[in-house]
Amino acid sequence: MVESNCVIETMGLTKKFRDFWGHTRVIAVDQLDLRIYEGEVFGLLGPNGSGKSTTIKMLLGLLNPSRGLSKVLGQPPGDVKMNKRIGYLPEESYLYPYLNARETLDFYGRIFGLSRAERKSRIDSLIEMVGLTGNTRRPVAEFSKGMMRRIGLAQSLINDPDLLILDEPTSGLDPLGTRQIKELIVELGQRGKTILLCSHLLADVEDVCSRVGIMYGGKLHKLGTLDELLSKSESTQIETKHLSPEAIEKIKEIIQDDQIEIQVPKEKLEDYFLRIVEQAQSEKVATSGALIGGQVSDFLGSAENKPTDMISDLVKGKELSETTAQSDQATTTPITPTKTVDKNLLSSLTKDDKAANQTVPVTSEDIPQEPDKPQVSVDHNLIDQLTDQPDKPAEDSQDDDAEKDR
Amino acid sequence: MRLFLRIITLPITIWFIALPILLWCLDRYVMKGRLWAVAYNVSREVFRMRGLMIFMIFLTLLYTVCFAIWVHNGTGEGDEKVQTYLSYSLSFAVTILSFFAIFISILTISREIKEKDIFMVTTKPIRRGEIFVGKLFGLFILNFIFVVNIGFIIYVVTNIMAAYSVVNENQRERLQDKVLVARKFVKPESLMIDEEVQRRVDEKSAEIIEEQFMEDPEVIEKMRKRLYKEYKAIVTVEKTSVEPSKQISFHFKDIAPIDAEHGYVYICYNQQAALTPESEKVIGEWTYSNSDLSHEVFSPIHTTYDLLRKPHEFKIDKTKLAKNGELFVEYRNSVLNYPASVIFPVQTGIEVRYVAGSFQENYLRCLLLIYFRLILISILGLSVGAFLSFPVATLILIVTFVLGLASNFILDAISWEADSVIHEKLIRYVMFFVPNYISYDPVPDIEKGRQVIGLSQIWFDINTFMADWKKPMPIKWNDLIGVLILKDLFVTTVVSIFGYLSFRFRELARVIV
Repeated sequence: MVESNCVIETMGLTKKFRDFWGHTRVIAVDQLDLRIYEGEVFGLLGPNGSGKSTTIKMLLGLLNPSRGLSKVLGQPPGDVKMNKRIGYLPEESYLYPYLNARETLDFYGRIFGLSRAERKSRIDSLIEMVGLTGNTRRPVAEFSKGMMRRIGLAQSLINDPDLLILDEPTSGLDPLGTRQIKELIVELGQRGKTILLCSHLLADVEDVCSRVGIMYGGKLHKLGTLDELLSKSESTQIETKHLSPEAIEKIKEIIQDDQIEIQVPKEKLEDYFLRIVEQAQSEKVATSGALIGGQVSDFLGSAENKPTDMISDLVKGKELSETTAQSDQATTTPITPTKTVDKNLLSSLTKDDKAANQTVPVTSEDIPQEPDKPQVSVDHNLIDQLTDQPDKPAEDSQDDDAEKDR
Repeated sequence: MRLFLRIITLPITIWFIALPILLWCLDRYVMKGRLWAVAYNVSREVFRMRGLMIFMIFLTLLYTVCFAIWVHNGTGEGDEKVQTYLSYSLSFAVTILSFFAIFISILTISREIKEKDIFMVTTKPIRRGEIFVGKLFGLFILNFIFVVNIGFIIYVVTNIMAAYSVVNENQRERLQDKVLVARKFVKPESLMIDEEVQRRVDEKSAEIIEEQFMEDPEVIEKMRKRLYKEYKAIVTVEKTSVEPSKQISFHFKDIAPIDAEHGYVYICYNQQAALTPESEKVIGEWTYSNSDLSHEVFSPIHTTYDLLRKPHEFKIDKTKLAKNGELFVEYRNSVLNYPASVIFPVQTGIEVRYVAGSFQENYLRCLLLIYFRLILISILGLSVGAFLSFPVATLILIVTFVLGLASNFILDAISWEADSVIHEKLIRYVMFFVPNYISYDPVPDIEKGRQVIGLSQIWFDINTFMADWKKPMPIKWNDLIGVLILKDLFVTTVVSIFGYLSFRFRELARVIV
C-alpha cells in the first residue's frame, strides 16, 4: 500500500547477482525497506559496494529485483508515465560523445516530447544555469569530467521533474560547481521537488539533505533526519560569540531560569557515518563492497610505517592530528628550540580574554622527540634570510602549528 | 500455385517498401517524435565516425572510379568492359555495404549498452520497443542513403564507360542487346522427367512390395525415396541426352519481347557429352518453328560446331515467333559426332533470352534487392547486438553472412545424405536459419542483362521452390507454409522478436561479455 505522499517505496527489496550457472555470488541489496516522501531531500549513504547504486537502478528499472517490491511515484519501476516525472543523473554522465551540449539536451527534450520552442527555451536556460554557455557547440567527448557532469545534470532537469535521482552529483566538479549544485538541490527541495541523493561526500549530504539512510552490505543500517541521527542527547552545548566573565555569570543565572534556547550539540555526519560503518564491520556484516583500511602493499615504498586501522584513525581524528602536529613540531624543534605561543591566536580559538597578550614559554622538553631521528643542525641565518622575518621565527612557526591543529 | 505464392509474397514486399513510411506516420502521430529522435541519433552517430566515413569514401572511389579506369585501360571488347565493370563494382559494393550494415547495426545498440548511454535513455519516457524500432528506422535511412549514393555513382560511371569504351557498331549492338538491357530467360517446358520418374518408381515399388511382402509404411517410404533418387539420375540423362543421328525437341512458352517487330530472340545453350570427342567439339543441326515441328518447319537448318561445356547462342528474328509466344526448337546430333551423345543439362542446358525491359528499370530493381538485403542484415545485427557484446555479435553475423554466400554448396553437401535422422530432425531446420544470398543475388543477373527477378519474387525463388519441393510425395500444406515462411523473412522475424524481447526484458545494468 503506497501512502499518498510517498514517492519512493521499497518493500523487502533484494538483489542477488548470480553467475552463469545461477549460483548467487553477491547479495547487493538485502531486504531493503525504504520510504521517501514528497518534497523530501533524502540522502542515501554507504561505502563503495554497499548497494546504493543497485537500489537506484532497481528503482529505475535498469535492474530487476530478485525479490521484493518497489514503487516509484506509485508505479512499478520502468513505467513510461512514471519516467516522464523523473530526472536521473547516474554516477557518471553517460552521454553520447558525438553530440554537443545543445544536441544532447535537444535529444532528451525530443524524447520527453517537448515542442521545439519549449526545447529551445529550456535548453538555453539550462545551459546557462550549468555554466556551459560558451561550450554549446563542442562535442561532449571533448568535455572535462566536471563539464560532463554539468551537462548530465542539465539533462536530468530538462523535463522539470517531480522526482530527481542524483547519483554522486558532485563527483568531478570543482568547488564552485559543487556549491552551485548544492544550492540547486536546496532550491529544488524548497520548490517541493523530491530528491534522492546518493553521495560519498558526507559534507554535501549534511548540507542539503533533510533525511538520510546509511547502507552497508546491502542493508539499511540507519534511517532518520539529520537531527535524529546526529544529536548527542547526553550533553548540551551553547555556542555563542565571545562572552565576558560577567556575561557567563548571567547565562548561568538565565539557564537556571530556563529562558534560553538550548540546542543539543550535533556530531559531524562524517564521524557518525564512519562509526556506523565501523560498527557494521565489527559485527562482521557481510558485504560485497569495498572494505575499509586495507594495508598498503609492500611494493609501494617502505613498509616501516604500516597503517593499522584507518577507520579508528579517522574516528579518532583529533588525537591523530594532535599526534601529527606534535610530530611535526618535533621535527621542527631543532630550528627553534624555544617557542612562545601566540596568545591572540589561542584566545581566538578559546575565547579566553585573560590569556590574551600573554606568552607561555614552551621548551623543547615539553615536546616529544623522535628518538631515532638524527638531529639536524640548521643555519639560522639562512632561514632568517629566506623567511625575511628574523625577529619573529617562533611566532611564525606557532602560526603553522595552529593552522595544522585547525 | 504460383499465383497463390505471388499473391502471398506481394504484400510482404509492399510491407517492406511501406515500412519506413509507416514508421514515419507512427512516429509523427503516435510516438510524438520519439522514434525519429532515436533514428536521427543513429544517423548522427554513424556520420560522425570520421574514420569510418573517410574509409567508406575511399572504398567508394576505389570500386567506382578507380576500378573503371583500370577496366577501361585493360584488354577486351568494349561491351565486355562495361559488363565486367558493372559486375565487379556492384558485387564489391554489395559486399562492403553488407559488412558496413553488420558493423553499424551491431554497434549502434551494443556500444550504447556497453558504454551505459542506454541508462540515460531507458529512464526517460520511451519504451524499449520504441528504442529498438527507432534504431531500425535509423538503419533503414542510413542503408537507403548509402545504396542510393553508391548506386548513382556506379550508374553514372557505367554510362560514361559505355560512351568511351565501346568503339564500333558491333560492340554497341551487343551492349544494347546483352548488357544494358533487361532480358528474360525462358526455360523449356518440363521434359516430364518427374512424371516419368514417378511412373517408374510406382511400378518398381509395387513389384518390390509384392515380392518382399512389405507392410511397414516407413520401410516402404524409405524404399520409394531411394528408388526415386536412382531413377531421377537415370531418367534425367535419358531425357536430356541425344545419341548421334537422333534429335531432341524443346518447347518454349510465354516469350513476350517488349518490341515484337524488331530485333531478335536468342537461343542460348551449353552442351555436354558422353564420350567426349578428341576435339571437344560437336556438330549440331538446329531447326525452330512457331508451332509443333511435326506440322511445319520453316527455319533453315542452322548448323553449329561448338566447344563443349561452354555457353553458346544464336539469334532468331522475333517475327518468327508465334503470336502466343510459343517457340519449338529441335536439335539433331550429327552422325559425325559418333559415338558421342550430346547432353543438355536440365538447369543450364538451353534457354531462350529476349528483351523484356529497360536497363534503368532493371538497375533500380537490383538496387532495391540490395537494399532489402541490407535491411535484413541490419535487423539481424540489431537483434543480435541487443543481447550480445559487439565482438561476439559481429563474429556471429559475419559467419552467417559468409554461410549465406556459400549456402548452396553447404546445403548440397549437408543434404547429400538427406535420409539420416539427424538431417530430418535437426539439420534441415537449422539450415533454414541460414540465409541464401546466392539465390537472391541480383548482381550476376544485371551483369548478363538478365532481368532481375520481379518484386513479387524477391523473397522466394518460385522456380527453385517448385523444383526443390516437388518431390515424389505430394506437397503438404504445412510444408508449403513452412517454406513460405521459413525463409529470410521468417528467420529475420524470429531473430528480431528474440532480439526485441531480450532487449525489452534484459537487465541493462548487467554487463554481458
